[in-house]
Amino acid sequence: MKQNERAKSVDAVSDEATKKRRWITGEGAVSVITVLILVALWTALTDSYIDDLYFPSPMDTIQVVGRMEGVLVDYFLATMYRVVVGMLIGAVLGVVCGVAMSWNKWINSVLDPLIEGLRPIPAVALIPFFILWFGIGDTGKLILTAIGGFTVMVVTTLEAIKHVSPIYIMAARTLGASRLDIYRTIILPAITPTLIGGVRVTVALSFALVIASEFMGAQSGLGYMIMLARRTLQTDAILVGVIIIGITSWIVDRFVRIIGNYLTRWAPRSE
Amino acid sequence: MSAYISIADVTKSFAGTAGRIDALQNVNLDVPAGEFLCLVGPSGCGKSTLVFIIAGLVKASGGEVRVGGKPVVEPDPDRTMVFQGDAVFPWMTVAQNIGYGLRYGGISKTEQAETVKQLIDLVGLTGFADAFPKELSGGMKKRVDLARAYATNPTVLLMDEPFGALDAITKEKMQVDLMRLSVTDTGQRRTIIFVTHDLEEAIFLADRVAVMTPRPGAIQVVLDVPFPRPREASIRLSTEFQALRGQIRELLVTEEEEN
Repeated sequence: MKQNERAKSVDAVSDEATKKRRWITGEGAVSVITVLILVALWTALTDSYIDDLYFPSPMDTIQVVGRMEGVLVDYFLATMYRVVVGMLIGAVLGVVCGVAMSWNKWINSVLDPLIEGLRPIPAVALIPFFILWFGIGDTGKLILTAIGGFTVMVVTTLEAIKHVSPIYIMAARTLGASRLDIYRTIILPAITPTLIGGVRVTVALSFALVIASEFMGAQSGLGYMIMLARRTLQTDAILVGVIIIGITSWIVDRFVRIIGNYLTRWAPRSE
Repeated sequence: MSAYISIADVTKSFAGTAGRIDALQNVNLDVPAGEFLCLVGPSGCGKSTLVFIIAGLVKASGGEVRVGGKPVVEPDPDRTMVFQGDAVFPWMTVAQNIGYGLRYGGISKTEQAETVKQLIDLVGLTGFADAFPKELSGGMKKRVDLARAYATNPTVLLMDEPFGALDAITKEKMQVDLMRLSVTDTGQRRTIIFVTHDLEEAIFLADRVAVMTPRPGAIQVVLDVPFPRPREASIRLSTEFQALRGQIRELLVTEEEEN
């Protein structure tokens, strides 16, 4: 029977390997076809029924990219800097605070009302204050994004720690692990899958917060670009901004998922 | 032999949603060093709670547990435990799981790796050192769990229905392995307290079987199991074995009816 078990698990491993080696799956091909049909539909509709002013054609959109090239890269980098740095600060602080709050009830008593007070407020509502306090530079946008990521991650961390199975903690205790050991070797890995989910929410939220704060006051960034284009009715530039944000947000999410899958490679997955 | 584990007047009550629940009431039990003792009792009689108290994971409301003369106040790697549920850490490989208790034992990394390697072979998981638990069957995971509990070379092993979730054949194999492994590195027999609701399992494994009363649990009677070791699986079919099984069953059923 043991031999059988071994053979079975070896099969499972090689199955996974072949899955990885295949360049595209049947499902993937279908998704590509869906996208192609959408683009074709877009071309057909903008050529006939839809006025360019309301929605630009694919050709117009590509031409805008060529025209704006230099400034587009600058704006893109400005936005990315705000998203990535703001998100990292917020997420790291959120996880650290969440762990500290579960570690010590006094830390929890101090931070809990602050977080509960901050959490129901949509961070975008604070943008006018942030412009007043920090101007229209990077500082206010970074803090705003960090606050958004912080509230998501602190709550995710606390909930995840609450749900770590007590059997793992008890087993570790009987084997001589100290409280610090248990946090390091049991709680952190056990909450990682849940934290990855939180980070993915944070990525989407960070893009939204940065773009919104660029709408309301900025001198660079994709949100700023979209705002300017709206004033001059350059719908093609608006669409370029939207598409770039969409693609980047997707790439960042993909990146988080790849890292997350590696960190949680031990976790059983339902396909 | 003098008592290695001595349980004196241990009482435990919980504050439940439906008021106070008395789980254990004046439990008294002495277990000599090297004894294999099985705890049986009607479900909910607090046998698991008692083992958790001996492990130091749960505090008794009254009374005292002493192990090797010292009162139990917290868990100790000299007193490891195998749980009913799956307690193998899914984020660690088989080798990391088995070596977990060794990390905190103050021995060198090479020595740890050597011990882990030996244990992997001993429990029949050769070739699975770097596998994650998700790749293992239930029986294999239980072997990891057992090896992990053995790794710190404890003098006391506490087992809370460890094989309850396994199929009959795997369970029998695990029981035989457990008997084989129940000696320390220096050749002494470990002191084992084993909770089970399976009477055949209890008689097959134990030197003595302690029968508990329904809740609030107390020790009703402690019976000697006279079969010599090593025991063959076939002794289950003997008349003496079945007579003892009938006797314990009778004790459990009568108690249940009286309540």
